[in-house]
Amino acid sequence: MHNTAIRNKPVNTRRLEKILLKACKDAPGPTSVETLAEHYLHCFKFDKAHEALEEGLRMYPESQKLRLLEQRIKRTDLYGDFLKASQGISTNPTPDAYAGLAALYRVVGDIDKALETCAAGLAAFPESVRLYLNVAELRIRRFAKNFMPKDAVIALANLEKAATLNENDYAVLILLAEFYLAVGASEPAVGILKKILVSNPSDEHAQKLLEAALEISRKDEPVEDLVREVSASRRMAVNPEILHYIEKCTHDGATPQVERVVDTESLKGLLADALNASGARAMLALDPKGAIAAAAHREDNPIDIDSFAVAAREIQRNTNDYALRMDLGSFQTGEIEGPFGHFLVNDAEGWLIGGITPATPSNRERMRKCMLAIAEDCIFAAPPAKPDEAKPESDQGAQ
Amino acid sequence: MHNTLRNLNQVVGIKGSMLVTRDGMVIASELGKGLEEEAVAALATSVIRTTHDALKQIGEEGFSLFILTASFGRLVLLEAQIAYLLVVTERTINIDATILEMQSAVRQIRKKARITVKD
Repeated sequence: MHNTAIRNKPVNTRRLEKILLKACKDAPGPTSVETLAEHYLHCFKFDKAHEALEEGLRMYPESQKLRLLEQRIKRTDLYGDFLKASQGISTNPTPDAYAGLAALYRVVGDIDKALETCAAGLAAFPESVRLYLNVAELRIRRFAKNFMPKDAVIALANLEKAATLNENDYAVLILLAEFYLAVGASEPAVGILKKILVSNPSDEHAQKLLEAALEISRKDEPVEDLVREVSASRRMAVNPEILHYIEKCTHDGATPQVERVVDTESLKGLLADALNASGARAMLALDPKGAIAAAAHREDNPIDIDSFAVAAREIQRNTNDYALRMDLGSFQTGEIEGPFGHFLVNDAEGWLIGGITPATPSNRERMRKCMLAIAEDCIFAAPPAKPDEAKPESDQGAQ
Repeated sequence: MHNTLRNLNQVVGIKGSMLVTRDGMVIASELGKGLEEEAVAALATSVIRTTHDALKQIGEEGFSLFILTASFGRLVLLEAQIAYLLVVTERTINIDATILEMQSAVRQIRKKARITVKD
């Protein structure tokens, strides 16, 4: 509504700011925060833009819109540093120069570029412990979020290589021990921890890890098999709270997924609006357990909603498994085109939003936008569930 | 076929491509570093089968394009008459623009397949 008003008549920036601030109060959600932050950027009020974005990310940590805007702002802020680091590599290439550029990519959340930079550095300096450690940290960060076995195997290979290059590097040894422990490989973890404790017997953290490692029933399986088990269960083999160094790797901007209380009535309303706006034949939303939370369909062109739900679930589940195995990460969207039209499925924090539209490219584009808006304004903006709402059975059991 | 795939792989953001039948038989493959032929072919078969089954659920049959977007990459499947063209891309590419290049490759594959059948 506000965007239409802005397009139709000239509005001075101060008045526009008031309108956008009011929109944030009246219709809170990632979209209104993003529009306000963009306005501040447009007016060169960078501090206010940072403030609005920070507040928005605190309220809606999973919002893709806000994350993208954050990345863009960080890239702009760090432009000088990127330039300096790239020049450093061209004029005086050292392992530290590559590590510095990789660290900048990591800050802006571009993990692929950070890995590419480390790979280029390792091609030039194959003996650099720091670069092997950097690759391992990046892979561990991805593994902790997506549980892709390939990330864990590559992280371990890089840590093991770093440990052979420098047998006394504490950062490498402790991270290697923690990661072995995380995947349940207690024997190699015990070996490394004993080595650390020989040189520093008062290391309390290493002692705690050793105790945890000795508690794990010893398994003879190869590490690759243990990694697969952890990936399948999507849970570390030990209590993650004792893995301090892994925690450090995973906490750069990553946010834990939370269970949310989504207002199904407003979800129904948004689906009905989206149905009209996108020309879709049917739309639905499935909760993280796979049940239909809301649905809308055209009366003149009916689709069986239960069958539609089964189809959406099957596509997400099967393709997600294979995408993880192929190092592509976890499922975000699936788009199918055929003589029937377009079939789209979108994952938003475990909720699935699906839609079917007749076959024209503009319909697909409209549907994409509608689905993104539903995810941003209804699911990511929903309040987090209270502990007793999220896990009633376990909590009651504990009490 | 290999030349067509190699040319397609030159497009920015494309990591590798493969021509695979519905039952997982690889006709031609030009996959980049880190992509294992067997694993990718298995994925293709599963995605094709799952998608056909899912479409049957809603009373529809056949698909010409499938785009899977995951957190670190994309996988695109295009129906190319004799088989499916599978393309693995980076996450950040403009998919709508890149699909035009893929569709051009599909046309070439279809043309070559027709010539081979006539011979």
